[in-house]
Amino acid sequence: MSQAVIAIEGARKRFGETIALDDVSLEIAEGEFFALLGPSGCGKTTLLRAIGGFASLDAGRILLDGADLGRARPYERPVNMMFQSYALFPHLRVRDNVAYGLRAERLPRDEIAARVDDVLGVVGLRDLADRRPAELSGGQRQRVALARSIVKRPRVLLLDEPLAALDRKLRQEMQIELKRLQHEVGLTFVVVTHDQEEAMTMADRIAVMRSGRVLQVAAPRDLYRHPADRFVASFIGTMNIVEGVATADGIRVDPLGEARLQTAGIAPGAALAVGIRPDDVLLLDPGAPAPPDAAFAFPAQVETTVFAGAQIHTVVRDARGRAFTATAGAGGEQRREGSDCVVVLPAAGLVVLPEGPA
Amino acid sequence: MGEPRRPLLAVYMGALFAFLYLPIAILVVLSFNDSKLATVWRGFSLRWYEELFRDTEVLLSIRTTLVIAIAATVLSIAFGTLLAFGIERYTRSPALENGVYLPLLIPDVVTGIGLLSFFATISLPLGTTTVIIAHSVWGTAFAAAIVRTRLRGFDRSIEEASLDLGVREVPTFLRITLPAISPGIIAAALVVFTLSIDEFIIAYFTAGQTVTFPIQVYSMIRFGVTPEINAVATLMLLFSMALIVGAYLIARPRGPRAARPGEETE
Repeated sequence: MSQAVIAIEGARKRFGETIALDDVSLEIAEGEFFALLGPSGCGKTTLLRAIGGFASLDAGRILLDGADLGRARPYERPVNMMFQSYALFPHLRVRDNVAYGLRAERLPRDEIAARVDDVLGVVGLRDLADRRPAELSGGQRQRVALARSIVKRPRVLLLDEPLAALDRKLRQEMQIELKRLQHEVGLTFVVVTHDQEEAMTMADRIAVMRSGRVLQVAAPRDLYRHPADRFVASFIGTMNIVEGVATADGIRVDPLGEARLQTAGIAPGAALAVGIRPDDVLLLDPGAPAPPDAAFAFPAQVETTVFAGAQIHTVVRDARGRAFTATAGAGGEQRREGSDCVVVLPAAGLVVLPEGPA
Repeated sequence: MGEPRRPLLAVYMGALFAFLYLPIAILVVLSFNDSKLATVWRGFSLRWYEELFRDTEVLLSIRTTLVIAIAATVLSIAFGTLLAFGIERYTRSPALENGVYLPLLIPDVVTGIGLLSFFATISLPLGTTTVIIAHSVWGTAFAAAIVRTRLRGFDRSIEEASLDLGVREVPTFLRITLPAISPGIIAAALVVFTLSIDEFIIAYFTAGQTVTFPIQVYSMIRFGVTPEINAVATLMLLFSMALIVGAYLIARPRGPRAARPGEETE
């Protein structure tokens, strides 16, 4: 990894009885699109606000380009924030909203005008420069907020749920748009979101947080394929979970049998869960031979099938009442609800899932 | 409209409105009466208005009242705005909160007597100054109440955004916070100003030898209702209504598309 722009070391923060940050350490690299992902109350917004200078830490440090930010006020930090409410100045025109931060730097008038015009072009708002925020749609306001926060060319741009206030369609467009923009302006983005799909779409790397702790930091693909624990596994996409008991060289699931797995560090006899993604689960006709790489194969009954355009999602239930979701491309056949089938869990798709911190 | 006609209801409404507005209408009409007798119509004339503007006592009292109203408004806005910020942001005590509004509920006679004995205790001679102080008492409470409603819907993240963009706390307050709540401040100023101009009871207690406009009118009326009084009343009516309409126009949300930051217009 290249030089870290932001390094967070042992950050702790408490609000009364609530622990917002519990020994958080992270490094964010230059030019990275980094996402802080987690359910509400996980501490992600507190961490973002601490980087921006709006919340102080009880312990730990935040370093920017290697220098401790300490208790520097927000206006002393070369970072900018895009607020969830957009926080546009209601009495200023779009142009003056965007110019506000440059005027604070006392730049020459011409340079301010040029940079404002430039950034309004980047976000496609040049025609609306003389409007006031109240005269804009939600999507337009979001762009003004974005323009205002990137025009100062901060070392890091902090985005607090930047797309939460948009409707679904616009949100999906803006996910791609934000990623394009981040490439174009070449800034380091740190985005806070509770929407795993949004984080997966936009971010180069994601830190999954829960109860003030960072559970895993990884690229979206790795997070999906190799979740660190059960919480991450179920928070990122859908995960079928099979509970069993650790053996010397794998897992035993009664009455399905045993499978060999890498279970380093787990004592034989201890409870163990493995997960498998719906797109790794195979459904075969009854009586069909199980493929050689099958870790487990067992009969089940089709409960529901959902045709979702590009994919078909099938929920099946085995004799002991456990449900599994299988996802196949839309080219495959859609099984009849109530019909019998064989569920195959290939060994390659199984992921060991530790309990993780509560 | 498909609603059934209710003649009795219409009559009742008519009577009610007549009760509310007829006296004022008659007063306005009679102020243009040429007759010296306030109750006999003799033709249209502006002579009472002319006489009014030649009456130095009346003009002096108007000047005094304007000085008091302007000074009381400035003081009330300054204290009231700070008070509104204090209550809204730095306290959660309901006692403190209600304590601020209490002066609005205390009967004017009580406030008047209280202030009179207070000024006597501290040996402050009665006059314009004491009326200004007295009017600032409830003016501050009014201003705090009005500015506070504006602050309650205030999105504090715009202050954070200003800090974030490199502007320190005090300039942020001046450039962002104050303009954002300025409609509330202006509305409060108009209300306090209007109330101060025609406030009689407290002024009567605290004015000493100073004659404010309402006190002047009161002393004129003791010799009977003259058409000149009607002219005075008509002018005051116009002036107050202009201020109230002004306050309304400034305080209401601007335009049909107006929305608070963070709200969706779509």
